[in-house]
Amino acid sequence: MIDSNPITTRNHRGAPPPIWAQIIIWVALLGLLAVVYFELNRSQQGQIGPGDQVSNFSMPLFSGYELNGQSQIQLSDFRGKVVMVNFWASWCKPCEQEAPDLEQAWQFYKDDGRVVFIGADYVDTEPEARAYLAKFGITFANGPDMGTRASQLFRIKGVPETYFIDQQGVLQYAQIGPFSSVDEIKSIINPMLK
Amino acid sequence: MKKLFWLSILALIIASLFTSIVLAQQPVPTPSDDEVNHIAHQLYCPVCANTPLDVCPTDACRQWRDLIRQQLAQGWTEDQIKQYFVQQYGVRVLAEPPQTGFNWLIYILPPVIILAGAFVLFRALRMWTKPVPVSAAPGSNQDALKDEYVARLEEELKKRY
Amino acid sequence: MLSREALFLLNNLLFISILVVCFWGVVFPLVSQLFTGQTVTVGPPFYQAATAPLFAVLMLLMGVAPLSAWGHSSLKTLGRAIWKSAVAALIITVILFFTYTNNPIALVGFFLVALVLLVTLQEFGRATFARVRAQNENIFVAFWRLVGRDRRRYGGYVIHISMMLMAVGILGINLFQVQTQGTVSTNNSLSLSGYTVKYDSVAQFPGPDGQQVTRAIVSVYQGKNYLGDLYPRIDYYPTEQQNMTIPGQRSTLKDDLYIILVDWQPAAANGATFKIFVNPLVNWLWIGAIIFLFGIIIAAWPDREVERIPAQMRSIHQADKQTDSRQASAAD
Repeated sequence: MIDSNPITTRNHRGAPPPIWAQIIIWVALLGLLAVVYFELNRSQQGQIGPGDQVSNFSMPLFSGYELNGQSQIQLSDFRGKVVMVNFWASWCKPCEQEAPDLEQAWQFYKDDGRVVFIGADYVDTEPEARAYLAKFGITFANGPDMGTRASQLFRIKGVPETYFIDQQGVLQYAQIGPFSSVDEIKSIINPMLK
Repeated sequence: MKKLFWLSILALIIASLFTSIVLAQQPVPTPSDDEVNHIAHQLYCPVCANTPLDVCPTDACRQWRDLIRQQLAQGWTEDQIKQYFVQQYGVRVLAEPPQTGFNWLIYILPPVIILAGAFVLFRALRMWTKPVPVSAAPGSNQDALKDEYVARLEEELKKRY
Repeated sequence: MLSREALFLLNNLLFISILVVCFWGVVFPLVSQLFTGQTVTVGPPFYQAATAPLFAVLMLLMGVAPLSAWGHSSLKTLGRAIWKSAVAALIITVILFFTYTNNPIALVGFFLVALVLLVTLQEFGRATFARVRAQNENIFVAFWRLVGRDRRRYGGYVIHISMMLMAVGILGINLFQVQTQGTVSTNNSLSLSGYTVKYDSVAQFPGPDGQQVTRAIVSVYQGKNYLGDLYPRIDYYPTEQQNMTIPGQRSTLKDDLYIILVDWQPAAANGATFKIFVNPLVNWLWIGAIIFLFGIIIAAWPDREVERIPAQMRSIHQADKQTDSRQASAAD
């Protein structure tokens, strides 16, 4: 009985599935493979680099840290200005290292009018974030990026990361990790102002 | 089996709804770690993807747990707290995608594929069993099968050599 | 419809279904990201809810399939073969309901475990006693020769048994694990399901790999009985800026106790935070795993006797040999 099985089954096997079913199955499988390919490709890409056009995004701001009284900003509003976007979080130790330098740099540029500083608070809790901002006496515009919309746009890998966007909305420089001095920040912005 | 399973799931959901309502009534002055972890276990912090919040060791997650503790102390319900986190950080904080819009796909597709597989199997089995007459006496049936087997074997051998 | 072939195919369908569920769960966040831009998490609740019924049916199959016959089996023949085991399993389940748990999922799981174990043991027993009676052998000899005669089948049964023991462990982890967390000062204790964990002291010292070790000493009691000390610790690696948590662990056949040092701040040295897990039944997972290996060895141990070659193959061999000899003679 057992031995006869493989042979007897052969002539009872049903017809192959209809052609449309086969097509659907293969298309679905290939589609899934394509999705996996695109996503893996995307995750391999790393952060956006210099020369990339930064697509427009909007972001809310913490009350008390508005920009010219606006509680919601759009990147496109700052055409013609140099924009610095700094990603940070209150739980991030290296961020604390650069926070005073960033504030000092802002004090240097704020009356100039040609530079905008934006802090984006990456996946953080608001009370701690506010305590952090107060602790380092931050005065430039700051807003939450809790839903990681902005961070996904820049494809950041962690905090702190800082992006410098020129007057035409093109990324000029990406700083991964903290700054070590105010001069380092100035040496990036100054050439962009010329 | 499946129906029973879904029924029991439904019962569990209803039961958990009631318990959360009951629990939510009184604000807890100092929520215990266990109460915090109970909610944290159901949440996922984007900083450490795929690690439940209650066991994630990063500072970011510690802050989240502190926030849950504060919210519990203010008398927030479990659902309110979860809703707060979803609103702040997006649906990725939940252990399962909410059953809305595109996310339905994740719940629909596996049962559909499984049922389709079951259907194909059922059809194949029916076709498979039909040609074998079961009514014959057991002994002769056996012989018939054996004869058929020998005949086929002979046939195959002849074909080849 | 209930022949062994049919049940095998159903078995394959279930395995493929589990694969589909897991694959889809893994891939869905990518799909969602691509089509909606929304990141989602697919966590344990999804996999548990989606695969638990499939595993339950798989277990049921393990109980039913050994009783089914090749070719054809009907509900009636199967029912006749299984009803005793089913009733016994039901009685065990009822006893567990009154003595151990009233969790419905656990009870369904335990019923299936009991059913499969009983069916499998019955299969062993029936065949062994048949040999004892027919061959007039001693019961152990009969058992040994029985397994030796069809090692694939009986090795497979041993694997079924191991699966059921592992299932008990998995049910335990998922449904009966208890945990608690608390901050205690020195000489104070936390309690969890019969265990009392007393916080004695904590010390910080450099480890052998350049890490900073924070090690707590806790004494574990069961009721009043002192069981021993455990040393949960946190290793901090300064170069990677990462913590590694190493739990203190105590394993017995009844349950496992894990103690994790969650937090200890030198500044606020008045207390340390511990998390304690008690995992009952988890050891059945390891016992099951060992029996599983045992079952594989039984089933896969190479045969000393000559391989039985299927008739078709044998004729090919002979044909080859004939042509060989013919060629040889032609060469002569």
